[in-house]
Amino acid sequence: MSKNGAQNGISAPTFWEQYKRKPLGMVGLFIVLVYIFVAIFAPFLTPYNPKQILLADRIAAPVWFRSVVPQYNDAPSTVRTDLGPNEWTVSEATGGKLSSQEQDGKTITVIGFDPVFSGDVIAEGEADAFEDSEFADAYEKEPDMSVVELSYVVPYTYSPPKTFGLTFNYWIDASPDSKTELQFVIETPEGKEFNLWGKSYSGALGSQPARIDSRDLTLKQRLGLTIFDDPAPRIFSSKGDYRLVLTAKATSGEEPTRVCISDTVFYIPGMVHGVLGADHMGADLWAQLVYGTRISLSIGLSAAAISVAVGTAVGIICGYLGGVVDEFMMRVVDVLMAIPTLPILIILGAILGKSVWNIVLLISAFAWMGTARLVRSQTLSLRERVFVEAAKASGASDAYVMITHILPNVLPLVFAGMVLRIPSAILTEASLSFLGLGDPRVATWGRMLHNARGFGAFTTLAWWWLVPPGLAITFLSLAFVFIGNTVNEILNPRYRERS
Amino acid sequence: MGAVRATDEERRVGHGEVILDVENLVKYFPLRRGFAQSLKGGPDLAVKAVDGVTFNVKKGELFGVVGESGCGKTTMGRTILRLLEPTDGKVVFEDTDVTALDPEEVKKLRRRMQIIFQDPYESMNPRLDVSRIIAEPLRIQGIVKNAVDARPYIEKALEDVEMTPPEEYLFRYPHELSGGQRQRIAVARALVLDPEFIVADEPVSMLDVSIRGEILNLMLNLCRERGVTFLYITHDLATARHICDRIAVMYLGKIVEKGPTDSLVKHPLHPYTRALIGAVFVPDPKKKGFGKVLSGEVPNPVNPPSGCRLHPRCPVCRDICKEVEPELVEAENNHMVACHFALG
Repeated sequence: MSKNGAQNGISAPTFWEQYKRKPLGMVGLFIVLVYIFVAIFAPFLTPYNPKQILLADRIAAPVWFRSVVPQYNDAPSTVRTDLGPNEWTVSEATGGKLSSQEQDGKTITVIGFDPVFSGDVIAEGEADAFEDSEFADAYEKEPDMSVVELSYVVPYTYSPPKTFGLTFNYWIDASPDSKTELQFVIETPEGKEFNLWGKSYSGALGSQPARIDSRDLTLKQRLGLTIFDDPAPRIFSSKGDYRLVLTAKATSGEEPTRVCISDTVFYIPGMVHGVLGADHMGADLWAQLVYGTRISLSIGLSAAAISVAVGTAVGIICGYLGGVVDEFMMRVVDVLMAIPTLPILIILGAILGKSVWNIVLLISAFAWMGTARLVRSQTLSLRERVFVEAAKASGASDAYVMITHILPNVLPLVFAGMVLRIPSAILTEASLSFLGLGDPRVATWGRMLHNARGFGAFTTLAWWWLVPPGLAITFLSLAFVFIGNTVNEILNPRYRERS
Repeated sequence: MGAVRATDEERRVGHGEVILDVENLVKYFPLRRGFAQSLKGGPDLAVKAVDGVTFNVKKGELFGVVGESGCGKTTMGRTILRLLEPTDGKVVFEDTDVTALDPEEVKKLRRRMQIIFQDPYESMNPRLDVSRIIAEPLRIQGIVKNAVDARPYIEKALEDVEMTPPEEYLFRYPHELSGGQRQRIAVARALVLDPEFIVADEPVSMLDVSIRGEILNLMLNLCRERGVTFLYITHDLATARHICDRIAVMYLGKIVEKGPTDSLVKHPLHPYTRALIGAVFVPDPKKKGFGKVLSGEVPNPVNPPSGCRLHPRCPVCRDICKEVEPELVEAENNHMVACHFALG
C-alpha cells in the first residue's frame, strides 16, 4: 500500500494541508501574491506612466532623500507650469489686449493689438497734429508701438536648481508693414531682471518654436556669462516669488496685429522626484519598477507554461510511442540541450526582433527539453502499468491512453517543474533586456538595469536606480524557487522527507 | 471455502460447443542484442514464453490453466486476447480468427473478450473514481457518450459484483477501497461490456485468503448463472480445483497435462502435476501428498532443456526424456498427458 500511496498523488485539500505546514513555501507564496497585487494594481500605486519622460532632472534622487541626506534638504522638486491665457496676468496693456482662442483642441494665448484708424479718420480727428510737418514726418517714421505685458508669478522655495527651461510656439498675424517685438524676462524677488529671449519681426510670421534652455550657449552669451557658468543657479539663487514677464510690442498695419502663443511650458527639473527618483530621461523609476512587475510575471508565467506544455506533449508522445519518433526527438533534445542558451537567444533575438512575445517564444523554445525528458521517463514507467493495459484491453487508442491515463499521472510532476521553470524564464528575460535585446517599448527590470548601466547610474552611484530592479528580480525568483521546492517535496515522492 | 466448491453436477465436462480454440499458439520475446553481438552472427535468441499450446474452451465453462511463475500462462492469456501479438499459431474465438484481425476489428472483439488482472492495486488508474473506471470500456467502445448515459450500466455492473447499493461506491477512488472491493470493481469493469469470455489472470493471488472465496464464488456464479466463459489462470492448483470444470497444467510454455478437474486432481498422470498437487497444503496430518516437491529452479526459457522440458527436475527421468519431446496424448477419457512414462 505504501508504494501505492506514493504514486497516487494527492487531492487538492490534502495538498494545501501539507503546503501550509512548510514555512518556506508560505513565504514564497506570500511574496508572489505581493508581486501579483503590485502587477494588478500598478496604476493605483504610481501616478506616473513609466514611459513619461522629463518628469525630473536626469538621475534625480528619491524625494525622501530630503529628510535623510543633508545635501538634499532643500533640493528642488520639479516646477512645471503650463501657461495659458488664464494663467497670465496682464500687467500693462496699451493699445492691445489679451484674449484666448481654441484651435486644434488647444487653448491659444492671443495678444490682439488695436487696429490703426484709417487715414481719413486720422485726418479728421487729429488734423491739427499734422500741421506741423516735422512732427508728422517723425510720426510717420517711428509710430508709437502698442505694448502688452503679461506676467506670471512662480513661487520658488528650494535651493538653486541646475537647469530650467521655457518652451512655447508663437506666430504673428499682421500686415506686411507692421512691426512686432517679443521679449521674455525673468524678474527675481530682489528685482533683478534677466532678459532670456527677444525677437523682433516685421510683417506676419508662421508658427515658430522657442526653446529656452539654461544650458544653451546663446542664452549664456545673452546673459553675459561664460560658457562654463550655469544660468540657472544664478537666476534662481534665492527663495521667493519670481516673475515671468512676456512683453509684446507691436504696430498694426492695415489689419490688426495678433501675436499668438501656444504650448507654453515653464520647467525647472527637480533634483528629487517620487519614491525612487528618476532615470536619465527624467522618467519615474518607481513607475518602471511597478509596471515591470507585470512584464516579468507575465513573461515568466507564459514562457514557463508554454515550455512545460511543449515538454509534456513531447515527453508523453515519445515515452508512449517509443521507436523512431522517440529516438529522433530525444536526439533533438540532446542537441538543443548542448547549445548554450544565452548566446543563441542573443543571436535569435537580434534576428527576430525585439518584442515581448518573441522573447517569450524564444525562452520557451529553449526551455522545454528538461520537462520532455522528465515526462518521458515517467511515461516509460506509466505505460507499463496495468491500468494502461486494462484500457487497451477495452480497445483504447493510443491518444485515449495518453490523455486519460498518462497525462493526469505526470501532471503533478510537471506542475512542480513548471513553478521551478518560472524564475529561470524571468532571469533569462532580464538578462536579454539587460543586454539591450529586450522590447524597447516596455519597461522591464532588465531594461532598467540596462539603462542604469548605460546612462550613468554606476558612475553617479545612483543606487536607487540599480538596487530595486535587482532586488525585485531576486525576490521574485527566490519566491518561485521556494514554492517550486515545496510543491516538489509534497508531490514528488523522491523529495519527500522520510520522517 | 466450502461454499466455493462446485458440485460434481456442475462440472459439466466434455459437452457444449467450443467457444475458444487455441491451436499451436507460440509467443517468443526476442532478446535485444548489442550491435557488436549481432555482427558476430549466431541465431536470434528469444524468450520462449509460450511454445506451442493447443487447447479449447467450451461455452459456459470455467477452464483453469495452472503453472508455476514464469511458465508462460499469463503471456498465453494476453496473447489470446491480442494484447500481445502471437509469434505463431491460431486463436479462434467462436468463428473469428483472433490472430488475423486488423486493429479496428480487434477493438470490436474487446466487447466480447475481457480480462481481469492479477493486481487490483495496479489495474486501476488512481486518479479516476469507480464510476469512471467502470465506464471506461463503455466510453472507449462508444456505447455511451456521457456519465448520465453510463449510469445504468455502471449500477448494473456493480450489482452484478454484489457491491450494493451502487451509489455508495460510485464516486470513491481506488485507494478508498479494500483489496477485495477493488477486485470486484475490476470484475465489474470486465462485465460492463457484457462479454462472453473473460480471461481471469490470477484474480485472487494478491488478495487475503479470507476474501479469495468471495471473488471465486463471484466468478463461479457469473459462469453458472450468466453463462460467461472463464479462462482462469492461476499458480494455485487448490483454487483451480475448487471452481474449474477442466484444468490444463503448463510448464515452460507447454501444456503437460489437461483434463477434467476430478480426473486430473485425483489421478494426476504427469510427474509435474503430481508435484504441484503434492505442494498443496492439506490440513490433515495423516494425509500425505503424492510425493516429493520438485527440486531446482525453472530452467531459463531462452534455452529450454532438450527433450522433455521437465527432465532436469523430474524424479522419473530416463534417457529418452532427454532426447525426445513427448507428445500430448489422450491417456484416459478426455484426459491428455505429455509424458513418456505417464503415471497410472
